[in-house]
Amino acid sequence: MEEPLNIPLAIKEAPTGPLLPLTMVNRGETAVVKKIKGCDTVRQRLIDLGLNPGAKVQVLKNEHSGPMIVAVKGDGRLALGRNMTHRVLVTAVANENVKD
Amino acid sequence: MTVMIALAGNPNVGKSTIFNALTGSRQHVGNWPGKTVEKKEGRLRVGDEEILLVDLPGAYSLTAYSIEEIITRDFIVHERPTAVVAVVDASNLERNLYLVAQVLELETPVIIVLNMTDVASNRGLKIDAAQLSRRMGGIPVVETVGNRSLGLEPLKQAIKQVTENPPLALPQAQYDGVLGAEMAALAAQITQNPVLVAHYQPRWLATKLLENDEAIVEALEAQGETELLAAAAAAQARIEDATEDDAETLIADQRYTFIGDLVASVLERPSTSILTTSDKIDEIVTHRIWGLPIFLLMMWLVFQFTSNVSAPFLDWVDGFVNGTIYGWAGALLTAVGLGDTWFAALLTDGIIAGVGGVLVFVPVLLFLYMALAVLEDSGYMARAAFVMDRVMRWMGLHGKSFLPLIVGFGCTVPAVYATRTLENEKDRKLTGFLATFMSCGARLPVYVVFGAAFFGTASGNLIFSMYLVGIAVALATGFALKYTVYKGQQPAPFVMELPPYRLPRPLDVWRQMWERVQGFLIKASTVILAVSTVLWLMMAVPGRANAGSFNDVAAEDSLFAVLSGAVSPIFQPAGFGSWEASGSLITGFMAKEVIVGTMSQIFVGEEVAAAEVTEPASFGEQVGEAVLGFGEAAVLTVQELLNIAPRTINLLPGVTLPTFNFFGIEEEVVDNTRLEAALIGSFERSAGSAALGALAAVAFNVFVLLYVPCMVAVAAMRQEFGNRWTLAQVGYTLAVAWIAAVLVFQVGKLFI
Repeated sequence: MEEPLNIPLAIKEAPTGPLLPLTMVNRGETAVVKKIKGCDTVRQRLIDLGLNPGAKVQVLKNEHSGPMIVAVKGDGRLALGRNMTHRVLVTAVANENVKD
Repeated sequence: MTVMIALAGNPNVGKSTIFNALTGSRQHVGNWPGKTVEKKEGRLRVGDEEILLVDLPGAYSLTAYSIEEIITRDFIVHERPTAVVAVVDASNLERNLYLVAQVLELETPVIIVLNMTDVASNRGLKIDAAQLSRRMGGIPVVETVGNRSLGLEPLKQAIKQVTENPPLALPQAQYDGVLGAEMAALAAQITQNPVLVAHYQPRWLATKLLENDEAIVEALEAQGETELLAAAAAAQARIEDATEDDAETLIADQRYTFIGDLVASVLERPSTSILTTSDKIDEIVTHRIWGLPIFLLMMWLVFQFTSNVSAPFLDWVDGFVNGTIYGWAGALLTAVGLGDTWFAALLTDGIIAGVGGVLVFVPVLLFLYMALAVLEDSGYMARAAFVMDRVMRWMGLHGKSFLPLIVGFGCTVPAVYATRTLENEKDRKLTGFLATFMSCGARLPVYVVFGAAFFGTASGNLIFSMYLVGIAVALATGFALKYTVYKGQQPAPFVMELPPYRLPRPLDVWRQMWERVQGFLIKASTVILAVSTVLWLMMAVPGRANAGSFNDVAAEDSLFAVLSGAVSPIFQPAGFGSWEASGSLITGFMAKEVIVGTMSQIFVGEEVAAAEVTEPASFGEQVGEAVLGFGEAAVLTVQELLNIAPRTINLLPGVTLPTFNFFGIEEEVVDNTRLEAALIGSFERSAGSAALGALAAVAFNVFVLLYVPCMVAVAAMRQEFGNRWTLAQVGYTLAVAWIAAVLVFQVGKLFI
C-alpha cells in the first residue's frame, strides 16, 4: 500500500510551469487547470463539475491506467477516465513548495 | 391558483429526502449520482396555503448535458415556478453553489437549503448561514439535516416568506469587461423581441447564446432567429479577440469567481489538509489490486444475504399461503356451500395457487432490495462503478454504465430508466440492452423452485451460476457489439462524482425496499391475478373434442395444453419440449414471476386431489402455528445472518469453520413439495431420463434468464429507445436464449 497522502489545501504562489495533461500529475500533487481541449459539451461538463480554467485540483489517485480520482473545489471528489484527463491541461505545483 | 415551488440541486445532495420529509410522499433516495430521473410532485401545506412541490432531477448545472438536466432546465425556464428551493450539500459548498448561481441568473427567487450540515460539521467545516444570506442579498438560507428531518419548520417558513413577498433584486454573478458589455448589448436586442421575451429571461438567454448552448441555439434556429444568432456569433468573436479566451470559459470563470468570493467569506476550514475519512476508505476500496476482490466480496455478501438469510421466511410464507390460507379458503367455501364448484376451483387452484405461488418470494425480494439499498445509500455503489470501469471498457462502455446494470439485478424497468444518467445516446441504448441480461428479482423465484426441486441443498449453485451466465452473456454481447455495430467508436468520456460515504438511514432503506416490493405486489394483484384467472379458464376449457366438459377436464387435454403444445416442439432440442414448460414461458412474458405461478396452477391444480390429507387442526391451532413459525423463521434468519461470516471465511482453501445451528435441525435432505415433485416428473418425461431431466431444468432456467424481459420492461425500452431498437432487442434475446438453452442441453448430454 502506498504511503498515506498529505495534501495541503493552500498553495502559496500561482504556478508558472509548462502545460501538461492532468494524466501526468502524480498522486498527492496539486495542479491548476489552464485549458480544456475537446468539444464544447465535454468541456462544459468538466467546468460544471468544478474543473474550470483557474481551478485547483488535487490528485488523489493516479495509477497510470484506469480512471483517476481528483479533488475539486476542496470538497468535491471526481472520478475521471483517462480519455478525459488527457484533455485537461494543467500546470503542476510540486508538493514541497506549498507548505503553509 | 396554487403556488408551485421546484426543488433543485446537484445529484445526491439529499433532495429526495427533503422532498419526502416535506410532502410525506414515498420516493426513492440513494447515495449515487442521478436518482430522480423524472420529476415528482407532492403537496405541502404551509399555514393555510396549499403548495405544489416539484422534485426535479439532480443537475450539476443548467447546461443541457444529460436528459435529467434538460428536464430540470426546461422546467425552471418554461414552467416558471414561484421559487426554487435549491438544496446544497454543505460539505461541498463551492461546487454546489454553481447551480444556484445559474438559477439566480434565471431571475427566479431562490431559497437555499444547506443540507447535510452534519457531514460538514463532522469534517470541521463551519458555515455562517446568516452571512451567506446577507451576502446573497437576503435570500433565505436554511440549515437542515435532511437525514433527520431537522430544520423543516424554518424551511416551510422560508417558503411562506418568499411566496408572500418575492424578493425584488436577486444577487447574480457580475460579468464585467468586454464580456459584460457584449452580454448587455445582446440582452437589449432580445428585449426588443416580444416572442423571445415571452419565453425567456433576456439576460439569461444572452448568457446561453454566448455559451453556445446547443439546445438553445437549435431552438432559436427552428424559430428563424438568424439575426440574433449572427449577432451572438459576432459578439463571441469580438470577446475572443479581446481576451484571447472564449466566452464560455470566461462566463464560467466569472461565475466561479462570484461563488469563490462568497464561499471565502462564509466558510471556515479547520484543517490545512483536504483529506477526509472518505478519501482514506477510498484508498483501499478503489485500490488497483484490492478494489476488485473487495467488490466481489461485496457481491458475494449480497448474494448470501438474499438467498440464505431470506430462506427461513420464504419457507414460512410458503407454508402459510399454500398450506394455511389454501386450507382456510377451501373450508370457507365448503361452509358456504360452494365447495366443489367451478368458483371454488377458480379461487383455490387458479388465484391462490397462481398469485400465492408468486407472493411466496416477497421475502427474497425484500432482502435483495435491502442489500441494494444499503450499497447505494452508503456510497459504495459509485466506487463499484469506479472499480468496474476497466471491465466495462471491454464492452465499449465506461464505469458509470455499471450503475444501471446493477439496478437490473433488482428489476429491469428501473434499470432502463436509470440509463438516463448517461450522457451519450449510444451508451444509453447499449446499457439498456445489456441490463436485460442482469438477472432481475422476478427471475429469482424460478431458479429457487428449480434449484430446490432438482438440486436440493446444492440449489445455491444453480442460482449463483444463473447470475454468472447473465453477466457472461452481457459481456459477450457488449464485446461483440463493440467490434461490429459500434466499430471504431470511442467510449464516451467517463466523469462521475464520488459522494462521501454515509451511514445508510434505516428509514430510507426501508422506503426503498417497500417502494420496490410494492411494485411487485401491485403486479401480483393486477397482472398476475389476471394471468392466473385467464390461465385457469383456459385450463378449465377442454381443447380437444370429447375430452371432458368445463371445469372437468384433465390438464393435458385443456385448451391451454393444446395451444402450448403447438409451440413446444421448438424447445425439444433444449430438452423441455413439454406443453407445461412452453405454456409457462408464454405466460412468463407478462412478468417472469408468472412462470412459477403458471407451473403452480398446472401442477398443483392437477395434483391437488392426490395431495396428502393433513389432519384437521382447529382454527386457533393453525393461527398459533403460523405465529410460532414466524418467530422460528425470525430466529433462523438471525442464524443465517451470523452464518455469513463462517461461510465467507470457509471460501478460503483449507478452512472449515462450523456454522450455527440454533434448533439443531438436520438439513432436510429431500422435502419435495407437490410442485417440485411434479416438476421433476415433467422434466424427466420431456428430456428422456432422470439425469437428463436435471439438465433440461438447467437449460430451461438459462432460457428464462435470457429471453425477453417482461412486458413492462419492453414497454419501458420502447419509450426510452424507440421501436426499432426494442424489436432488435426482443429478437436478439429470444435467439440468444434459445441457442444458449439448446447448447446447455446438447453439450451437457455428451457428458452424461
